[in-house]
Amino acid sequence: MMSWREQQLSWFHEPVMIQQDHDLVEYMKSNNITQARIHGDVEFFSKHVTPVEHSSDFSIWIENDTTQLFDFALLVDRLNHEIQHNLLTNGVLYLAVNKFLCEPKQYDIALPEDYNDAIKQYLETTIQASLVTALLPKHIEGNKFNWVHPLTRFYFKK
Amino acid sequence: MKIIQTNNVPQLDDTVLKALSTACVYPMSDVVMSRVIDCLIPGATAILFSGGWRFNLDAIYFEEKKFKALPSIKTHDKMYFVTTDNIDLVTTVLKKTSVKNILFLHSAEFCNYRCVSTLIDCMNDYLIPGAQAILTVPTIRTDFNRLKYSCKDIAQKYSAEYVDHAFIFKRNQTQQGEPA
Repeated sequence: MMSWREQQLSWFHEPVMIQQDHDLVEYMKSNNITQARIHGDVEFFSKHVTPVEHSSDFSIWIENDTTQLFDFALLVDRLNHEIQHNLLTNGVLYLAVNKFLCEPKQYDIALPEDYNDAIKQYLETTIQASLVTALLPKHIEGNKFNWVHPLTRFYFKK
Repeated sequence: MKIIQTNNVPQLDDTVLKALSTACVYPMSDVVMSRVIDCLIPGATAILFSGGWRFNLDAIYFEEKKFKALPSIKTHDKMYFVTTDNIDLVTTVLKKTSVKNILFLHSAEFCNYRCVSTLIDCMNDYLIPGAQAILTVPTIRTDFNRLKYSCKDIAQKYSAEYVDHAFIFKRNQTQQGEPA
């Protein structure tokens, strides 16, 4: 079964790339990143960077398995483990989450009202690395059908 | 290389239209459908932009104009193909046919990751006097702050029902807005 990305791309007769993928590929190119640890969408990103199992100075973490909901608290635990054990000093973790798949076990009413801001604040205070960039899809008004909601993306530096 | 967004599609040929006709509706459980049926008031029913080809209800159906060109689509006797922004045309037909129930059922085309207040506003645009609008949407496709609120919180805030992983919003002309 084709992924949403494969299906969407297969309809174009010319080479095309989805903006959010292109942004990451360009980031890797401009930073001379040739290998990375990859969690999620491994097959796709392996075309652009060599996947490695050992510690690396770049980690790609895609949380977008539409068959599985996730809990941000558990995700943070896993990300902190990744940062602590598999990311080299000064290494960068790229995180892209499908925020619609979140199903927490508990809720925090003190977080900002805006969901994007809430995610950013939550991650900033729980991820054991510095937030460098947050790419928040704030301008999706729903006036055009999306195959998938654009991912909410972050770069953290150890 | 051309860069596209997640809402870009190429020219609409049969292959793309067929995929779109599947992707533009969300699977709907019998539990949710049964609850909708229970909520219907006596009178005619219209089902809007919900993939009418998957329902057998005696209703007036409105579907996106682009699907008219799809040869494999199952059509109903009373099926109109319009664009989602042609609200005046739809409401005129709804009034002329004295529709009492205006349904949006798990429509990806209509709901499309919108936040709840936008969804309710869009649904209200189609309301006509003496009728009720009912909109169902999977919770997973609705934009709300999931770190802060549960589905039950959202249902309570917007006077919705939370049934089988879906929200059911009901409005008539005397209760269009967001509850205080």
